Amino acid sequence: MRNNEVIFYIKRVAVIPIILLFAIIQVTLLDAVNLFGIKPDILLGLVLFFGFRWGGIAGFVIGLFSGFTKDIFSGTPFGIDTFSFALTGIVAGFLGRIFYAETTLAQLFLSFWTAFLNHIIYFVVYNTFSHPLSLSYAMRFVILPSSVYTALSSIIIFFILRKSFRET
Amino acid sequence: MSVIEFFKPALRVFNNSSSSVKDWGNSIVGHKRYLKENENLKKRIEELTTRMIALEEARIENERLKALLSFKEALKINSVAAHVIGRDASNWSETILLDKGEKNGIKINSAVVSSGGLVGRVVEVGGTLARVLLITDPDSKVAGLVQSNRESGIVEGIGNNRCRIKYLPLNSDVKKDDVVVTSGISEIAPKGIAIGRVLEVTRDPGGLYMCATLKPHVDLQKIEEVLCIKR
Repeated sequence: MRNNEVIFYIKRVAVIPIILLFAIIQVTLLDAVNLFGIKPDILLGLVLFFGFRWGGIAGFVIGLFSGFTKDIFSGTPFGIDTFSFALTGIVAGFLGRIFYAETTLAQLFLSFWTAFLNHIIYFVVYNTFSHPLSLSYAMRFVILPSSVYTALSSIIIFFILRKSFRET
Repeated sequence: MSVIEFFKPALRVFNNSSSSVKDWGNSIVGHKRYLKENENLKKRIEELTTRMIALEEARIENERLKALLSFKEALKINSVAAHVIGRDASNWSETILLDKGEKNGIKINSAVVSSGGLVGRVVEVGGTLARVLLITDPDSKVAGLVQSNRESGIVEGIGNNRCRIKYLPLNSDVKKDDVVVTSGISEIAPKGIAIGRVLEVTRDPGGLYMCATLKPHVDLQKIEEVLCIKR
């Protein structure tokens, strides 16, 4: 029991370096898979994985930290990703309790809609506090392609993370 | 001799066979040696291929740096060369990270150019790192000028690797393929640096002015080295 508890905490702490690693990959290597200026959001994929698997509170904490890290690595107004990722983590935790996200199709479906929601939150906050963008433009060039690409990449991310966090 | 002649066909057959047997024997003895040699050659090919790729990469980099250097000389402006080490983590904004910062003389709002033209301006700077807002980012604005008719306007980013020049007069004769350069008014970039080429001319939805969508002169998705103009 004590041993299991130690493993439990080690796994939660291990998420931090993984978030940092994913952030570095996001700004460097992922450019190689850039399609029409859009790349998959692997940090969001990570938040979705832990949200679906560990629940809303873990999703919120991991979302908060991942969003904060992404804010550091991006040129967008600071705090929007922290906010949208934290909310997305909670929603992922909630959806993970309702739906069984183990089959590839279910993962794709849930990842797409949660990523879509994340982008909508981002769009609303960005439009309110920063630069006004047209919804049709954002939908066509960012929200939809990015949600699809993130959902597709989540299959690989989920596979890797599932192997790494098998017992939990 | 005639007796031997009698055996000639047999001798021939055996002689041929003996050479085959000899070859077969040699091939068995040499098999191990050939395998080893084959392995060594494969390793050598791998080594040479890796070296060839590295050399090709160095040649391409050399060409890019030569172009950048000649551009730097043509500009006659004090600048710092920097490598692009990262891109924006988000799909919502278009920025790049450079490996040079304040220690190298880069300041906020320093213009960043490449051999083809304007890349953007520095928006964040650390000791050895700087973030550049690309001209295609919706937050980017720079004063521009249509090279052919000298009409000036504001070039703003519209994302998706495009920007647009706004506030051109309604009777403007700007047309497709016209070149837009920096006007030098905004004090960020010196006058005459290429920004982009006109793709499409449209009237502003409010009907007050004309605007033109531009394709940036520099392929912003592929830049690897840039020059930061010292302010």
